[in-house]
Amino acid sequence: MPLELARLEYLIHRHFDGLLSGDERAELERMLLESSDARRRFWELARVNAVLRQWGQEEWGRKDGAQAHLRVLPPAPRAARIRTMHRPGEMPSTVNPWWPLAAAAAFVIGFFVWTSLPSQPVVMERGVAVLTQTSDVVWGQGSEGTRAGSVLAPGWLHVKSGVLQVEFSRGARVVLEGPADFCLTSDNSGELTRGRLSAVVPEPAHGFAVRTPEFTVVDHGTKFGCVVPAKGAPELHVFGGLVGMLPDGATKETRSLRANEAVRVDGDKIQAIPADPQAFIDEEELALRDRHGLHERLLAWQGFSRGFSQHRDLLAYLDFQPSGESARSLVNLAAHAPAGSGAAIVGCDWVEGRWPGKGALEFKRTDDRVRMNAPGNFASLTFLAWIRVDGLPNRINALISGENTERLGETQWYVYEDGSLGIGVRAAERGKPTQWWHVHSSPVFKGNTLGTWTFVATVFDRAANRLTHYVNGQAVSTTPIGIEQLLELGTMEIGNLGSHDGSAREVGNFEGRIDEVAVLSTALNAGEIRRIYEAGSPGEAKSPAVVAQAN
Amino acid sequence: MSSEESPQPDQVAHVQGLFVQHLPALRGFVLALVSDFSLVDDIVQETFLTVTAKAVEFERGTNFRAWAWTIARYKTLQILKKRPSLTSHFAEDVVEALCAHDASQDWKTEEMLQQLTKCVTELAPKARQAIDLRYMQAHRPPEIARAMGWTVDAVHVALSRARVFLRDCLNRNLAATA
Repeated sequence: MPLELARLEYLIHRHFDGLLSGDERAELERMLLESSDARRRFWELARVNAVLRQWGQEEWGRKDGAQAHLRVLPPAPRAARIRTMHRPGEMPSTVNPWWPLAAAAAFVIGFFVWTSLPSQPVVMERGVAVLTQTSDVVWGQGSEGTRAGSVLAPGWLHVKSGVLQVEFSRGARVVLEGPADFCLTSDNSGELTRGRLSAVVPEPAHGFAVRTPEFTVVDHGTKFGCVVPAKGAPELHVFGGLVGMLPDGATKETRSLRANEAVRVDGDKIQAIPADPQAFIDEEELALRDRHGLHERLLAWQGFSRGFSQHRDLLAYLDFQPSGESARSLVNLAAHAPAGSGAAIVGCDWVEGRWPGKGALEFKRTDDRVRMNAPGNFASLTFLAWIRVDGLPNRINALISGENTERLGETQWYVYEDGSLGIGVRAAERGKPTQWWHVHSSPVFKGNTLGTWTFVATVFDRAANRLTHYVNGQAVSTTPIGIEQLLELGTMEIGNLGSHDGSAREVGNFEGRIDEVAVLSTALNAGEIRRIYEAGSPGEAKSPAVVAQAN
Repeated sequence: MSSEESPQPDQVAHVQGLFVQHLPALRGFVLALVSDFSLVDDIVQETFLTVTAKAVEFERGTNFRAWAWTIARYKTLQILKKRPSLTSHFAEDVVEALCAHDASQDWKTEEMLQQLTKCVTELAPKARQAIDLRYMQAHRPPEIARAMGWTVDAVHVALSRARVFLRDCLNRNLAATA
């Protein structure tokens, strides 16, 4: 390739990657102005660039949201900073630089590392909408764990039953009734392959489009509803303003529908039918359902909570219900806990918890914490908490930690800077290469889970030689226990790293809200964790039988 | 726009339908001039609003593409002028020259997309990863560099080579099916 041509292509590529310097831009502009051949070559590459972007957007939308590799960038391997000592045979050293990737891929395996923790960048997902309300939603495969408040990346929402509302970034609001399969294809469009949907489209979202198997609806700023039945022809109902409908059939002629008009589209057959606003749930009705459902769930959880406090192995159980607005202590509700094990609040403000009317403490300042005594040495431990992570400002963002991090067996439970759930146990004295034993899940708290209420649990099960991290009732990692020490908490701190005398302390405060915490001196099993999550979940109503079982 | 404001709702719907049909090519056209993906979305959205507002001016049977492209070019220049701090775009005379060149071209986006879907499967794994991060996840090269543990230059080289490979693959396959 002639030098001049190679230079031209180099500059065009840099333009597409947003990397041109001022001088390079001027040089490229001169070439493009002077030569029509340069402009031809520019457009040739521009088409590849454009069709690649179209492919990327469609692929992104098409792939199921559950596929982790699409949802988040893999963290950068930083071999030089990972000083790990793996036990022979458990993690070959050749894997070292890539272990964050391996962990992300093998979600249920988990990983452990001795001593110093690596640092990884947290990369946010690209959101196109927010899930704003849910009412009795049962998710289908691939959408499990999606909660009100979640930021939604392009991809499918599979709903078995229930009703939800999605607010697109450009302003369109959609109420979706299950059973439904709805794909968010961009910040102003979606594809409905099954279910019932109603949309309100304010002016900034004009052009909001919904594709169905038979037609595409383009909105002019209005209210409309779409039904795609499992069997039979899809329908479009217009309740206000005007929409354009582009059938997929041979006619390809756009039709416009005004308020109170509706059609059923079956191939080339377009049949006028009466518009039926009663057939769709609107925003107001959903909001009413939501409030009613939340109140019922709060009552059910209160019943569960009373029963759970009687568990004989509870060391600490805090429900974060203040005795008054200025309450500065929390009662340990564990019925068999040693006397005098109440908790003192240091800093922290009272805020709303995971339901309206439920209390929570907000942890913001580096010194905010709750302190309580949990004396003893433990072969096994279970940590449970309902938390809302608002940010990950520190390397370790502590949920619970012992006060004296120098003591062997001292235990820390935390969210790591990459969003993984982690536990650390001091396994040797300071200075030894194996001084801390850490086990992390793969990253849990990322763009779409920040700011939403999440149930986290970690079970250190000595008898089964297994450490398991759980998120929203599901095990997310299981790792063999690699230490002999008994675990200690001593004076434990909630929402902060224990402060020890002597050398400067690492800042490790939690940033977010906590509204329920329990610590048990035994290992709960997966079924028990699942039932506690279900009884306490703000997003799903459960039958009284499920709650009674957990008791 | 409400139905009261528009005397010819059918015309608006017709024009919007055409817009949706031409959307991939129009987006690609803007993407050539502005490398920032989110700015491209803003320009396309603005273009849609203007196309809707001016729908009555469009004569059925005339070249929708040329009409919409003119509006998109105008919107691009307008937005770029509003944001002089942006470096990821061309001077006005260059945009005009490029648009004059492209105006007569028709983009067979559907066919290209079909062929591209095949061609990307032939990319080497690392090149494919860079392409996915750039075009699927919309990350900029410095972010991709951090994610892959590469330098920005290495990412640029990988993306450039991948695009040249894909251009050649597309040209071959499109010629074979023509």
